[in-house]
Amino acid sequence: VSRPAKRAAKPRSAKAATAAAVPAADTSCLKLGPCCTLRESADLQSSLLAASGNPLVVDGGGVERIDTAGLQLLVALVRRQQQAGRRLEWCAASPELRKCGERLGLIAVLGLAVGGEGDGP
Amino acid sequence: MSPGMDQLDEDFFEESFESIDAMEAALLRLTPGTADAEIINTIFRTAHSIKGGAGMFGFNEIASFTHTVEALLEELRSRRLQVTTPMCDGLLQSVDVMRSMMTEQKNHLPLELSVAQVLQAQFRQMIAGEGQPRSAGAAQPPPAPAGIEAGIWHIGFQAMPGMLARGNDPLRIFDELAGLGQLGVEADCSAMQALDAMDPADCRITWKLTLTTTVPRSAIDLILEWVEGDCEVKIERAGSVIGAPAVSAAPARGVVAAPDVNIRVAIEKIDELLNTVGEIATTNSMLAQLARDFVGVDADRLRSGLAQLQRHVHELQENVMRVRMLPVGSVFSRFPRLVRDLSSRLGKQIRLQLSGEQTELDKAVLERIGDPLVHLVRNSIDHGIEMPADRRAAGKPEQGLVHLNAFHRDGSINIVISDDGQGLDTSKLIDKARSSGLIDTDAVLTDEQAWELIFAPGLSTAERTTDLSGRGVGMDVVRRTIRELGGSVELKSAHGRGTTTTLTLPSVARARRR
Repeated sequence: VSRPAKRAAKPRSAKAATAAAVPAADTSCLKLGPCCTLRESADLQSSLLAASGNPLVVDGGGVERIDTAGLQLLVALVRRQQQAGRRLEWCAASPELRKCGERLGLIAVLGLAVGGEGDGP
Repeated sequence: MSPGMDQLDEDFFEESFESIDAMEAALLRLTPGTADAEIINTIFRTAHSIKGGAGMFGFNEIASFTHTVEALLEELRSRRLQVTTPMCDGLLQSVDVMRSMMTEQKNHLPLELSVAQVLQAQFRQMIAGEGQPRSAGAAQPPPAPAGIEAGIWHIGFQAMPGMLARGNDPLRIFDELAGLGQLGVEADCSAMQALDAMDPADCRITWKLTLTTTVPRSAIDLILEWVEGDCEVKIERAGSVIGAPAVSAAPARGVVAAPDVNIRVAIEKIDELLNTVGEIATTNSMLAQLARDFVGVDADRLRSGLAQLQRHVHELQENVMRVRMLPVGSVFSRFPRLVRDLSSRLGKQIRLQLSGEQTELDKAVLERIGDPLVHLVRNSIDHGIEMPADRRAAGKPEQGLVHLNAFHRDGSINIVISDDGQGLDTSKLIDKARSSGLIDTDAVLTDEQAWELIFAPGLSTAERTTDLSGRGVGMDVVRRTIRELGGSVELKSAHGRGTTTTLTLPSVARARRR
């Protein structure tokens, strides 16, 4: 996981990034599979439900296919983290994930800033 | 929770096969040299939804093939190409290819792609205009309506339950809308459920889209039309980029989902219901039996109550059975294609007439009469209808007639397959039966007895030597199948004038006992 250079200047982010590199007790990583579509939605939902942590670091760098069902589940994950007062960070987001998220107007709610690697909400 | 993926797959395949059938039926109505916009649009939309579903389910080969078909249809729809006979043939073949790819996919078999690839290459050539008549004025893109300026449209988009499961993804719709101009998308996730309570197939996000485009409203409608019934759409013209500020808002078109008057029910559920009703009927009879000798103050009331119950149970039984009934048209619908293909292959001219398609039959019966009917229709085409020259010589019109008719008679359902072909030559039949030892050499047979010979296994095989009828289903098998269904087959023929085969099938009650 490459750490964004800008984080080094921010103490809070630096801590989070360090936590991602050397996982603290409550940090956990979730790697999304290549296919996050309705077809895989049951599995995706279970893995999202099982994922916890603060921050929860999500790796969407390997997503090759995603659709509305998959994106809706990710939005629900982001909201669950928010409601529980926990952070969610994207350590990577594939171009496909970004493109589809943008097309559905979900980039902001997912916390995926357009262009670079998104920060958590 | 979401329906299991297997069920989604099952639904997808079932709906795809229905779409393919619909596409085939529409293609058969397409006449070379004409440009019936409604038919072409229907075919286009069907192909589009098959493509969308296949893509959604990850069946990329089917999606890619259908995409090429759709591209060719788009050329027809925009009138850049004219409908030609090779095109009709190719499109009909593409239906076969889609059907077999779908079947292979469904059965987890490797896909046979050779025909698909050949067809795709052909279609690409057609699209490139090689050897195809282009429509007049095809060189220029359709002129933009004069005076149209870039309009701003506000589109409210809300998915209906089941939209995603049917393979219609808002993502794709928005992509297409974005192809019309500049699309702004604002999502509202407030109605979404929590992760643990969410049904992933149920899209609860709603959208406000802002489309800035120079295309007319109809182009937007066309894209949204494909998902009509799957979502609620509200389109309003918000204004124009240049010129006067807002044109007064056009009446919003609410794509209100058509009230769903039909539901899809698994046949097993109906059968379970029917079995339970059967059990109730048995118990009812048992109680009636017991009550017959019952003595007491209320014995009469008990008996009359039970008699009433019996009537209701009987009514219920009949109603449940009626649920299993489907119009025979679903089986007839395969014949236009069959007749078209076979007659062109044999160089015969044949008109197919279908009547009584609405006559209903039990689903189990319908599923089994398909092959016998195909056999009978093939016989009519192959052996019945003569070559045009022979028909002319016999003083008949060059175009022969094959008629399929279904109707109710005396509590049974009759399906009659008739043709105005050459009929059976009884003397030839009798000779063959004699030489193959089916009958004594000195036997004298009436016409009726001679016609019966056609149902003898040995003889029917000897009669059918062409590849058309050699499907391993002889007239003996036709009769056996129909008898297994509790019905009968009767054949009448007049030499030189044609043959009529009548299938008599029982009413629902017996039909179910397969």
